[in-house]
Amino acid sequence: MSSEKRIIHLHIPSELGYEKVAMGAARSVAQAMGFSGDRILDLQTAVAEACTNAMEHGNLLNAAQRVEVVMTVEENALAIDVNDKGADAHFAEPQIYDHNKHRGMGMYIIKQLVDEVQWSSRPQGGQVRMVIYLEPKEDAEN
Amino acid sequence: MPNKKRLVELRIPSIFGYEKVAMVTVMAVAARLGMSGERAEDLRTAVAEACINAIEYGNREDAGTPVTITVSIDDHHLIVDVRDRALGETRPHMGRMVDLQNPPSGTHANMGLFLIHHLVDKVDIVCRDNGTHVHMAMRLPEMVLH
Amino acid sequence: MAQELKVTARHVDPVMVLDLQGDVTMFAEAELTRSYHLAVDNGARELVLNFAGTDYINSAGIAIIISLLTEARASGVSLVISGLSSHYQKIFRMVGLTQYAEVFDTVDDAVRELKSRTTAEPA
Repeated sequence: MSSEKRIIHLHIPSELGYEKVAMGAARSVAQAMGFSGDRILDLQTAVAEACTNAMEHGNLLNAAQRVEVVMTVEENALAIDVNDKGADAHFAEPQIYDHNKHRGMGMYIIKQLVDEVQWSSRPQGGQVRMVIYLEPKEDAEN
Repeated sequence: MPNKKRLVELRIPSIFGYEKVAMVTVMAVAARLGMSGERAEDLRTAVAEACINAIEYGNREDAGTPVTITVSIDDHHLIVDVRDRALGETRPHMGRMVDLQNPPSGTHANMGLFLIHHLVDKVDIVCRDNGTHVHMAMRLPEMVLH
Repeated sequence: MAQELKVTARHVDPVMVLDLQGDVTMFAEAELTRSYHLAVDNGARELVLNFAGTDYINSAGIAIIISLLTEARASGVSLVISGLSSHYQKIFRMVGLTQYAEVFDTVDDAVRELKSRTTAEPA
């Protein structure tokens, strides 16, 4: 297999329901890479949460503003960036799920489902980068 | 084009197999718009064929050159535009049915165009120096969700 | 990137069934031709190509099927098709494949029909 990165770009409207399009695309890529069924379900859910968060909090459900999903296929990993156009830093990395902060639940879920996740606020908007590895990086000890 | 509204845009590498991402993406949008069953499958196959032609002939399988798939709607149709960057030769002519006495020698591109032509309601193909654009439209069922 | 095609052969008297699992695209060529030749080299004269385990067939894959059909016709091997969805049965009809290969809804239908023809032959 080539070690060259393959990149897929997807733009969807900031309209709830369209995260299903991103989920389907991510599933399709992950299936072809050989991820297990369970892992693919995890990824789909993580992508859904990232997209809805981007729509609601990043783009404030302004349908005209796009959510951009960039998938990078590497030899042993799939990286998925979900980018919005949100102006302010609308997320702080959650350590635990706080029931009072509904907004944090999606982010908490993502953190449990993927191998690596990083939230950042860039000039052009918010970004969440999620990575899943084909051979999971297990913790050295529990 | 009356009231054409762009919904989803996808760019895939020009590598065989990635047309599946386009198929799934278009199907997800079609499902949202109430298209299902035979009509959806027809569109799915047409999208596969258009992407494959773009990958193979338009972009000459150059991995770094994308095929762009745009899904839009207008008042009555779901529209899928497939664009390549015209690195290679493009074949806008329609193909014919298979004659096993004279089987097509490896030119499944013609078969692909033939299928697209018979599967979607309307297809236009425009070849320019900067790329070929396959424009496919399917009439939506009357109860369309906007 | 595509779901690689796997072909498994099984003998269902009096025919050989080739079960396809995965995508029928350009990537399927090696596996399809290998399986076909293996079956024929082992003496199979009646083959059922079973598509029940596939949900993506494109024109490149159809071109491979056409070349197998051509080869079968030339060597007196009977090759029939089963397990296609109604959509892909329509596609096969559109490109004229059904003029050259019989299409059955299921493997059982194909086997039953071919068996009845064999037993109908005079001793």
